[in-house]
Amino acid sequence: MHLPRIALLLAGCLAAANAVAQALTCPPPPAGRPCEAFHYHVSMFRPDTRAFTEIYGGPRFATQAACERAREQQVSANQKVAGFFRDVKKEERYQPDRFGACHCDMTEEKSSVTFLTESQRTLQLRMTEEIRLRVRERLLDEKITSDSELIRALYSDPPVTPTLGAPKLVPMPTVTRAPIVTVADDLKPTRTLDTTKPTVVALDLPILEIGAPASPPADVAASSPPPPVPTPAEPPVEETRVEAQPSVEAQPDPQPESTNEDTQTAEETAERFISYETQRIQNVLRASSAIADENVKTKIFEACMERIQLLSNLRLLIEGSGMRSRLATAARDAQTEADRLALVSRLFGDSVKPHWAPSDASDVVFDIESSIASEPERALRDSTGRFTADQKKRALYLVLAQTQPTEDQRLWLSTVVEGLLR
Amino acid sequence: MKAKVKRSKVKVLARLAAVLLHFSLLPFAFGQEAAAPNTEEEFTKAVFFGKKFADLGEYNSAQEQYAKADALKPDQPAVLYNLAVVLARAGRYSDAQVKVDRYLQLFPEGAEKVNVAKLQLELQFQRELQKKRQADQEYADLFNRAKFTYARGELDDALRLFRQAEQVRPNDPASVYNQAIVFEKQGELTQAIGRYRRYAELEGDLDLKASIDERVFTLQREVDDMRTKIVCSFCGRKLPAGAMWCERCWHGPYPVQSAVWNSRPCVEGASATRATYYSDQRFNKNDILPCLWKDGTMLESLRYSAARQRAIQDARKAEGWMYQGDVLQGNREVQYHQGADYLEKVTSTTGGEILTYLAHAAGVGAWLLDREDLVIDASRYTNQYTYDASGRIAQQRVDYQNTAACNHLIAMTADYAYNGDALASVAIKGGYEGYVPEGAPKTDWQANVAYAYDDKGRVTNEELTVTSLIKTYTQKPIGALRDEVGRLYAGMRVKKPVESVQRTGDVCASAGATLLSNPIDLRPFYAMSPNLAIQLPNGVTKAVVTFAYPP
Repeated sequence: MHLPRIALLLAGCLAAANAVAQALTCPPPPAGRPCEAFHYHVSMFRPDTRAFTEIYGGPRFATQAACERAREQQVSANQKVAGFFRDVKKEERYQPDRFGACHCDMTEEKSSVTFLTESQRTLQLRMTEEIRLRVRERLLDEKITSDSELIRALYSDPPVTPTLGAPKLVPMPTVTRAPIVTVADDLKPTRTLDTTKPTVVALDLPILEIGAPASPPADVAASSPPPPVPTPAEPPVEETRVEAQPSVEAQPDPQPESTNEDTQTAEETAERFISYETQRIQNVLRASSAIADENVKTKIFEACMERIQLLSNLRLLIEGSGMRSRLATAARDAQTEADRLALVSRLFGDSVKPHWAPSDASDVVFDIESSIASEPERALRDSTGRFTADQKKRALYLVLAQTQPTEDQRLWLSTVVEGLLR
Repeated sequence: MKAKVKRSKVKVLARLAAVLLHFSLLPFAFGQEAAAPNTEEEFTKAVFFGKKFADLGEYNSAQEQYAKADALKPDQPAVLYNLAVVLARAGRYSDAQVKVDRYLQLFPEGAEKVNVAKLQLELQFQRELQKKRQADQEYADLFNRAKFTYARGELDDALRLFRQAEQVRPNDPASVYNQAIVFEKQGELTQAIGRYRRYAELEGDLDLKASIDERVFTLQREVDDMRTKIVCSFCGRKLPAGAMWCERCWHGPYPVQSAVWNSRPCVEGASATRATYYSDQRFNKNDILPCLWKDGTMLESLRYSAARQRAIQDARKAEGWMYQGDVLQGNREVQYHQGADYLEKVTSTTGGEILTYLAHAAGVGAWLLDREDLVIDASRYTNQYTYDASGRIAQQRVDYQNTAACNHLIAMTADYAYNGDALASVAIKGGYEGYVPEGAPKTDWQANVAYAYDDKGRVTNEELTVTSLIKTYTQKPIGALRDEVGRLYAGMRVKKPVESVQRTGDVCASAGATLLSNPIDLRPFYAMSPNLAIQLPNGVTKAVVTFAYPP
């Protein structure tokens, strides 16, 4: 009867000795293979037998750091319990648990000596809980209350990442309709429009030299329609002074169409403004005919041609941007000469203003700095701050004066102009 | 004598009259002689200047000179002709036509007849050209207005204007193409496809045609997907309609045809109420279950659309989740380990947890979980599923350690039974074997879930009944634990079932005044039903969910 007891005792002693001797680690993984999980072994002290039991089927961790944190937490909790028995209750034979270092968990590696089947792992879990319960029982026996810090320390589990506990069926997010981004570049331009420049007609028809009348003047019958009212002859140009203001007859307001009143009105505005300015530049041209210096004359002619191109483009912008656009509104409101020049100044800068309505024909000519003149569109599009606002206005003058913008460019130019007038 | 005097008087008067006549006509005669050379000179000068200006291309000035000449000497045929030519060159076609008409009226056989006829033809052409240019301008205005409207984001108006443009010029591919773009922006893909196809018919450029074919193909696929696919409400992944889970985040389930999962529509007149009862049939409480499906059914609520997918992904990205393409990769805290076909593992960089998943393919794009780790209220559950031939869950096994109470290792199984396509019942059982120091308690329970349907196949009633709950201590608890168990179950006797366990629930320990217990936890059976995946409070043994639908 005593023999088995002694044998058991010996076996227990041997097991305890083994536990002490154990390194509390798994064999290392094969070289070069990354570690997928970390854990630590615990040699748990069982108070009833005073033996140690090695547990290595506990929690697994994705990182060494997480493993270390959990281990430290458990070491600290266990020290409180062991400290209670050793220091308060003076049970010197009560041992704290022994914790191995965090290392690569090989308990799922079949070739490893520490491999655990599911049932072996469950057995280890059960063993852990039985030892904990025995410690709990000892603590309760020592009149430690069941909600005390010491009892809670027995069951200190690592904190759980909250994100992982999110519900499996997630409600649809509240759909806030994202604004639909529409840029004109999404669209295709129409190719059905005749984009050829208007040509001068009847160029092949000769202008006749008229010396003496080729045919005798006709005897105009009373029944014949009256001859067209002759255009009053211009007085000979004596100097290069330009008429202060062109005289363009005010046109009656057209009756707006019920369908697209806006466009009609914008066209009307464009017609009024541009006609006035066209007449102004024609006055300049006319005045330039009195200049003897051919070089100056040529320069004036070129400046006037550019101005005419600019006015043509400006007309398209006014018409295209609609009646309520800032451009059309400003053009419509520009009733006096001062208003017109103010608008010109806002669009093309103060430096262009004196050349817009020159008192002398030669003043229509002006130069713009080469940095802008070489690539005006680039200057206008620049967003790096390399060009000042005034330089950009001059660039706008050049773009309008020297190019025939495509529809897309006109769209962009409208935006630029609206910006200048904001 | 009288006759002689009379004759001499007549002679004197005649001479006087002649002198007076001479003097009175003189100024006229002189005047005529002075004016004639001046007019001629002015005329000559005007026609000369007119020619010079015309040669210089200064047609307005030339016209002025010829007009002056015409005024000086009206209706000279060459002047009329030249005037008409320079007016035409200056672009004043109607004025030119007046001169041509005048010429033809006065000099139908004039020397300039041939050139005038040419000019007449040219002016007719210009009238046609002007009409065309005016039409061009009107069309350009309409087109530009449509573009402006589009750029302002006013899609309905832009569409209307592009349609008007198409009516004006039915063969302009641009207005048709732009309608397609607007439809796309509005999410009306089928209509966009129609417009793109029409555009391809009109477009002459083969490269552009080919690019449109690709676009139509992509949109058609998108339209097909909208008919047949759903999105994962968590990560936005496109899934075949009916996929149980999203294989890239394992959220779900999404059994869109299941009546049980469609039992909580968000429609007027629909309701779901869960009533719970204690073991002695006493009523516990009613829970009004919120509706789940905003668009009435699960399918419509999850139906794929690019906008919906984008909204989900945007919502997740705003929460800090990251994607690679459409596949979720994790966030700052957790990392998704995506395998070739599905999400294999989730790890936490903070807590270090590892959740693993095993799955198998079930049709195109659908994956069924064989095993999953699940975290509910900080406890980890492991689910293992088996399926029937139709890919429906036949059995589910759940294992977990109840760390919220006494760390018991609890196992549960659920067996699903179907009647045709409908889930008829689920038989669930669970239990555990406790630890020796606490008296090795053995607990087993059984429950049943039964479903009732109306004639439209809708669930009307879902009833869970715990049919048994038995707890038996197989040996005496040790020392102080014996006292604790005695307080939990006053009349407990070893190897005899605890009599009060149905009333008290399965309590296992105390923490101060709090009793720790192992409630019947059906939350891991989340795929069974959205209505009964609950933890039953101690003593509650019955839950009845009743549904109402609009007529």
